[in-house]
Amino acid sequence: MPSLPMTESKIPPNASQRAEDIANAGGRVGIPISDEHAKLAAQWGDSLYQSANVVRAIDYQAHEPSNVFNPVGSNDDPRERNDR
Amino acid sequence: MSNERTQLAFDSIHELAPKIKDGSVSPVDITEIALERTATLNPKLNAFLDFWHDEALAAATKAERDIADGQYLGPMHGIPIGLKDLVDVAGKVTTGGSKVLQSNIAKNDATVTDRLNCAGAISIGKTNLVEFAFGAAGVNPYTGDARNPWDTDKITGGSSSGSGAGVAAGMVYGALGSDTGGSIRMPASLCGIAGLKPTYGRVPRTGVLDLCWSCDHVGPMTRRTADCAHMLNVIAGHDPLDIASSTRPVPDFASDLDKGVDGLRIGVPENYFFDPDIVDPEIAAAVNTAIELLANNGAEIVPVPMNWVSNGRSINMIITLAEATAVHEKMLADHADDYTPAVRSRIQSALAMPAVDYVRAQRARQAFSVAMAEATKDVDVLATPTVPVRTHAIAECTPAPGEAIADKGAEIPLFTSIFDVTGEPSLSVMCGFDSTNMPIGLMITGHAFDETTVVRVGHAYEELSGWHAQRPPIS
Repeated sequence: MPSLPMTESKIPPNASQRAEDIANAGGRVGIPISDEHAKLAAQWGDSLYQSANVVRAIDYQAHEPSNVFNPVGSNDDPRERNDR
Repeated sequence: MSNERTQLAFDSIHELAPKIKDGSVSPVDITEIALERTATLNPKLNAFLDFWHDEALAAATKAERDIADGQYLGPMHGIPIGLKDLVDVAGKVTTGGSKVLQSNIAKNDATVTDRLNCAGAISIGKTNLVEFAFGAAGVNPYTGDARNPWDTDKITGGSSSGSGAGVAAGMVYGALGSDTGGSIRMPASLCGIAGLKPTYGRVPRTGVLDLCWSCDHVGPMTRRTADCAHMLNVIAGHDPLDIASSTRPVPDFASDLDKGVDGLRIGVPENYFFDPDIVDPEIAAAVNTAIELLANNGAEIVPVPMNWVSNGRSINMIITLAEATAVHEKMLADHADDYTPAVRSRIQSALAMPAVDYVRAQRARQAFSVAMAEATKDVDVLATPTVPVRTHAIAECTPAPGEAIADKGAEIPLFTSIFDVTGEPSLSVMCGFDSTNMPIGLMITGHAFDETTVVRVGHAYEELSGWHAQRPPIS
C-alpha cells in the first residue's frame, strides 16, 4: 500500500506576490484581471497552496496520473487496478 | 392544502409507484399538488428558478392516459421531479445559476433528461444551485440563496441547493443533483433527505454543464433511499456521447432493497472521519448511534485504519480548481464581469498554479484510490458522517463586500470530496437531529459500481430508524 503522509507545511508566497502572479498568468492565457480582482483571487491562495503542499508530500512516484476520463480504472474497478 | 394532499406530497416514489400503476393515485393529481406547493413555498425557499405549470400538467395528463391504456413504464412514470439548472432541457434556458448563461437556451435534452422523460417522469422545472455548481454552502448572490426548509435562516448546502430544499419541502418527489466535491450529499445531509452520488461514469453527463471533467457525477436526490434506486435505474447506463461513461451493464439497483444488513461488513474509519478536532460531537454521536443500530441488526462492524485519508480533500481541490479554470477559460475571457466575485476569484486563483501540480494531483489520486481499495477490500461499505459541521446560517457563509471568502463553510466538503477522488458510490441519509433541530447525515460509501449494496444499507437503515419520515416545519 502506498504511503500517504500528512501535510507538509511550507510558507506560501505573500498575498501581493500571489495577486501579481495571478494577474500575470491571466494575461498570458487571455484573461485580463484587474488588480482589484487579482487581490480577491489571491485570498484563495492559502487553501490552494496548502493543498498543493499536501499533494506534493504524497508518495505518488510509483503511479501514473489517474486517467482523467476514467479515474475508476480501465477495468472499472479500483480493486483490480495495479500500477504497471 | 388539506392534510390528505400534504401527506400525498410527502409519500415516496417507492410507495406511490404501485398506486399509480393500479390507478389509485393520479399523476395529474400529484403534479397539481407539486405545482401548488412549489408556487406556495418557493417565495420562502427559492428552491426553483423556473417551473413549467402547463407543460407539467400536459405531461401528467399524457402519463395518466398511457397508464390507463396499459402502457405503464415503471416506478418513475407520472412522478413529478426537478432538474438542477445545469441539466439541459431542449428549448429551456440552462443558466448554471449564473448571469453569464442567462440566455443559454438548450438545443437538446441532456441524456439524463431524455431518459427521465422516456421513463414517464414529469419534470416540473429547474432547481436553484450555486453559481456554476462551484460552492459547498449553497449561497448564490445572483439567483438568491436557496433556504433550508428546516430553518430558513440556514444554508441548504450546495451546490445542489434547490434540489435539496425542494425535495425536503415536498415540492417534488425527487430531483437531479451533481456532485464534484459533495454537491449531492452535502445538501442531502443538511436538508434531511437521501442523496446518491453514483460511481464515476455510471450516469452520463452529456448535456450537463461541466465543472471538473474528472470529478463530475450526476445523481438522484429523494426523500428516501429506495427512491434514489428507482431514479438511478432510469438514468444509469452507457452513453457514447460522454467519453467517461462506463460500458458496464446496469443492474436493478432496487433488487436488494429488502435484504437488510444481516451479514454485511460495515467499515468504520479509525482516522479523520470521527476526529473530535474535525467533527462536531453531536454529529459523531448521531452517526455512531446509527452504526450501532446497524450492528444490532446483524451487520459486522469493522474498524478500518486509513491515516492518509485526510489527503483526499487536497487532491480534490487541486484537480477541481485546475479543471474548472480550463472549463471556464473562454467564458472568463469574454464575460468576467458577469461572474459573482466569489466564484470568479476562486476560479481565477488557479491560473497561477503550475501545471505540474495538477499532474501531481492526478498521480496522487491514483495512489489514493489504490490505498482506499486496499483498505476497504474486506468490507462491503464504509459508514461515516456526511458533513463534519453543523448547519451554518446563510449570513455566515456569505462573503462580506470586498471579500472573496466567507467566514464559514470551508469545512463542509471535507468528507464528501474524498469519494469524488476515488469515484466510489456514496449515499447520504438522514440519521437524526442536532440540538438546534437541524438534520444530520450518515454517509454510506461502497465499492465502485456496487451501488446496489450502498442503497441496500441505506434503505435498511431508514426502515430501522424511521428518520426519513420526518418533515420540516415549513411543510
